[in-house]
Amino acid sequence: MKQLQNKLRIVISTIILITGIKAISFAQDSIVAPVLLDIKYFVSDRQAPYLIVKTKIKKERKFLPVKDITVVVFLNEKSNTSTLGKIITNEKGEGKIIIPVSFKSTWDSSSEFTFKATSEPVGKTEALTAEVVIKKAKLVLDTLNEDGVRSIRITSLEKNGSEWKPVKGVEVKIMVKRLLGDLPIGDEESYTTDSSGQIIAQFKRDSLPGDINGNLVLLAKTEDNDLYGNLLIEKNCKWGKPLQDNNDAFNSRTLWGAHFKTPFWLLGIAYSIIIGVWGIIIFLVVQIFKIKKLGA
Amino acid sequence: MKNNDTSRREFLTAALMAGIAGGCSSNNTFRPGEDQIIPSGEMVKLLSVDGEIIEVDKAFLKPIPELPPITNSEERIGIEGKKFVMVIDLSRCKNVGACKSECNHAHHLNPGQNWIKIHAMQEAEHTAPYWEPATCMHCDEPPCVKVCPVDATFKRMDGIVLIDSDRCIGCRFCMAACPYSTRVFNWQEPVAEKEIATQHYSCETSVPQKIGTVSKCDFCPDMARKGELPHCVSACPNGVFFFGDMNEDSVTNGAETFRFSDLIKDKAGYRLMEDLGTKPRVYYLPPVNRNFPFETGLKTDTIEKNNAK
Amino acid sequence: MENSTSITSEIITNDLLPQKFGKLGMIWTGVLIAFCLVGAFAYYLQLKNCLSVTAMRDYVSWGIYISNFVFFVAISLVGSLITAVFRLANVKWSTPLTRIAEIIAVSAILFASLIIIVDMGRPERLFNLFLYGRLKSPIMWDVIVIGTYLFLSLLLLYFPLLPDLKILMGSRKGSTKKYNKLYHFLGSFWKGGRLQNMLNKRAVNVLCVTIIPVAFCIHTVTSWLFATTYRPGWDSTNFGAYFISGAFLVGAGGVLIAMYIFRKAYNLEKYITEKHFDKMGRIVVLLALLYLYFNVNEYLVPAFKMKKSEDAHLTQLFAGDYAPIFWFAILAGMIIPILILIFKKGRKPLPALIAGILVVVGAWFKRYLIVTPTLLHPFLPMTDVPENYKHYFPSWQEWAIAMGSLAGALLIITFFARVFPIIPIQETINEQHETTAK
Ligand code: SF4
Ligand code: SF4
Repeated sequence: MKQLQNKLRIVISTIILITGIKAISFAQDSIVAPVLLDIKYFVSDRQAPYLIVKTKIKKERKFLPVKDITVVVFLNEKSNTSTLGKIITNEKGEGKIIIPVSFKSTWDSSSEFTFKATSEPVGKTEALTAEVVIKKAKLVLDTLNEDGVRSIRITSLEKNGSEWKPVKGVEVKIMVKRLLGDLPIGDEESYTTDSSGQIIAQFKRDSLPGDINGNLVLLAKTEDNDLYGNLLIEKNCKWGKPLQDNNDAFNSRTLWGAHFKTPFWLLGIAYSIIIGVWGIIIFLVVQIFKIKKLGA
Repeated sequence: MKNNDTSRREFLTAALMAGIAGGCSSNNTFRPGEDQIIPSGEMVKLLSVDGEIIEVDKAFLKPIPELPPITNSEERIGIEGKKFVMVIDLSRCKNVGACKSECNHAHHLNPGQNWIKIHAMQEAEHTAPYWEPATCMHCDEPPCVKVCPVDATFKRMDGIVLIDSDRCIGCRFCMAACPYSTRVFNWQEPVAEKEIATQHYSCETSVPQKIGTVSKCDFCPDMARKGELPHCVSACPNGVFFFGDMNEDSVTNGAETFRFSDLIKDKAGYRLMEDLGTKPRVYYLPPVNRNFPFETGLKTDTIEKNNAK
Repeated sequence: MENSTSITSEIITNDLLPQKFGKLGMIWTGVLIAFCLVGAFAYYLQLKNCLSVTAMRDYVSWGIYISNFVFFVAISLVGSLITAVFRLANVKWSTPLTRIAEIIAVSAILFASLIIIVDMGRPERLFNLFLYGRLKSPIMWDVIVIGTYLFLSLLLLYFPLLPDLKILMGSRKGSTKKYNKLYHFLGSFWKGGRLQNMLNKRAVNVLCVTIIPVAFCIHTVTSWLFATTYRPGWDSTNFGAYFISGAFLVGAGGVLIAMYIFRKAYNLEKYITEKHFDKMGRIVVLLALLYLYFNVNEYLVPAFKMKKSEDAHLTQLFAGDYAPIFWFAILAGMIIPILILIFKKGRKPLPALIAGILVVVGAWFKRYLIVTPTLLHPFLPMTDVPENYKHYFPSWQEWAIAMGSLAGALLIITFFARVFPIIPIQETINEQHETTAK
């Protein structure tokens, strides 16, 4: 039975591979792997919690997205009344669901939830399931500046009844926000909260460029925490070096400049030669007409 | 009022983008995707973690905001406030070629064309061989741009050198001028699927390729606008490529992020052919303490692939 | 002129009027047209399939089109040498050669501009040069300077032609009758009055002074297309002078050939005498020595240092795949012609012709050597390209187009000689009078 299932799985994945992800051209020569479904819970400090579902397959040492899979997400139990939403994964194999307002009472009633994601067996595609159990929690970020030593205090809080209680042993990453990948504030990759639920981490990125006013965005997050999912908090602070963006080279007249940015010396030389020589040419053409006039 | 709006916009977008696009930075003049969002006026109710009900404009809920197409003159100026830079760590490269195939795929390059070339280098008989992936160096004083007669290849404010294939006359002077031999030419009609071939040419994606014109590595500014890494960077399984912004002083390969200045200082980064004065924007970290011996890259299939592709 | 005293104006006119093609002339023209047609067909194929019909690829991105272009530009310099330099220096014996030199210059520069368009991947975008031209690009300088030189060369052809046009119109000979309309259009106003003559003379003098620096510019700028890059073999401060000396040499060689052919074809022994071959021969020797000198500079100095980037390139030239062509170009293009022409016997018409042919053929291959081997030695290794990208041998289409363009240039010269007197009639008569008066 188990074998049969495995075989089926391979067949299904093959079909998905061939039909669903034609875009990934180099997948053809790979060994076929099963499609995986994954669900993650995200919450930022001030706003709506949401869920991300992901469908993917593993190829060599990388995960490749699988798109166009319909996934339904439930809260706590699989029933019509507890359906949080239904999405179709995009070309990155992702879909996002925000917890609807209609779940307010359920949301308020407890501090621990199970999110279940399922995909229907479409055609020969096998049904996939995934679930994640999370507790309501949040992070708090404070900036400290004692004797010129800049540090960041993180407090991790868990909802317990109606109260937020500090928790220890939560692994938190503390970074400075950057465009393409966030930069850790120090040498450590991550920090763990102590018994009082706190982390004090020293900020070691002195004179890191910020925006034009020297603002940096600090950020602390947990990554796929077993209990709390992905918590995130951001905070602006003025610890950066004001950005001095220098576009002198771009704006000045250089040899690699654009059409209208020719260096003056070159313009001068070029035009004086051109005008000089073509002036003579015009003079010569005038001579032809003079000769012509004489002959007429 | 105005203030209020912005801050709300900021935090919401930040939340919504987190985990999807890898976040956006509000500490800079450039924020991928965000500036372009126009509120629709239609409000949606949402639940906060504390169980409060908040209202959000619907336009901010779109997972990936639609970016309006960029005009040619905007493409020629570049992304304000950025100075893109790449770091290639030679100690990690073993000639896997994932960067190359992903790049070829993303830009619909034809057989025989490679924007990334992985050179097997050996400076002298008794020096160590190593693999050296080479992209366009996006030189700060680009000789290719100097010689182009029609502004078809140009240097942007963000440091990127791009090609306008709608303007290039195919004189190939730039190919002769580039000391890094990075430019490739479309000697014949490029083969591409219909929907790609009929697209309008964009300098930032370099797609679709045009017959009789030059192309080369473009640093994927279209990806940067979305807040994503260039294709080669995310494709490399060994994290050889780091990409980032000098104005932010950080580079990342997706998994690790370093402060650019520290990285270059600690690992003694250098640039290729410094003596030519081209001032490349691609830095190399020397092939010391290597993750793989040179020979692992000599697998016959990779070599064949290199020669055939 | 040796037997000058016995020649009257009528005889001169009669001798020098353009003549109908003989049988040989017909075959010659036919062959040239055939070459042009094959070239045109090859270009049609190229237009259809873009540059993929050539053997050029990413590494060797310039091939014989560009060598041919450089060759044309080089040979066109002769116009300024024979006409302008000699005229200003008051060298009298060169008078019969001026028009030959000028028409070589015009047709060569015309085909230089055509071949550069052939080399473009997108020739239909030529107008972009005027819409978006960047004054910083040496290509732009080349475009400007070639346009200027073409215009000046045409003027230099035209002014001295004016008096001859009058003679042509007055002639009763059938061979020129059908072109009367053209002559009328070009020079019906020429009466030959003192004032007209004076204006004409002044114009020619101004032209001669102007065309020399422009001629230097055109070839210097052409050399800069290479010298402004970093490539081994091109990265040289010597390049402008090197190119110009080579250009004068090949131009003078070309004139030697043309002299011989016109002399034979039109029976011009009275006008293009052995004395002319003697003098031109001496000049070729001088120019060949000069070019040799620059060659020694160009190769010996880098070869002495053998920088790594130059090493592979130079070894290829001296002893590698390109050694046969290289030594052929040096021997045939310079040393053998010097050895022939240095002796008085060698400056007789036939050996001089052979020397001229050697110079020109050698020069063509020299241009090939300047362009191609360098591109096969980039700074970084040739990686990740198909095997055939690492070599270059021109495809038949390239040969056809290149040869077609050479044939085209010759065709222009041929037709010109059919329609206009290839030796200036009026000037010869004038000189005749001067010598008799003495
Ligand atoms: S590497 Fe070559 S193509 Fe790229 S900017 Fe520099 S010179 Fe231009
Ligand atoms: S080939 Fe195109 S991009 Fe390159 S120099 Fe010529 S016109 Fe400019």
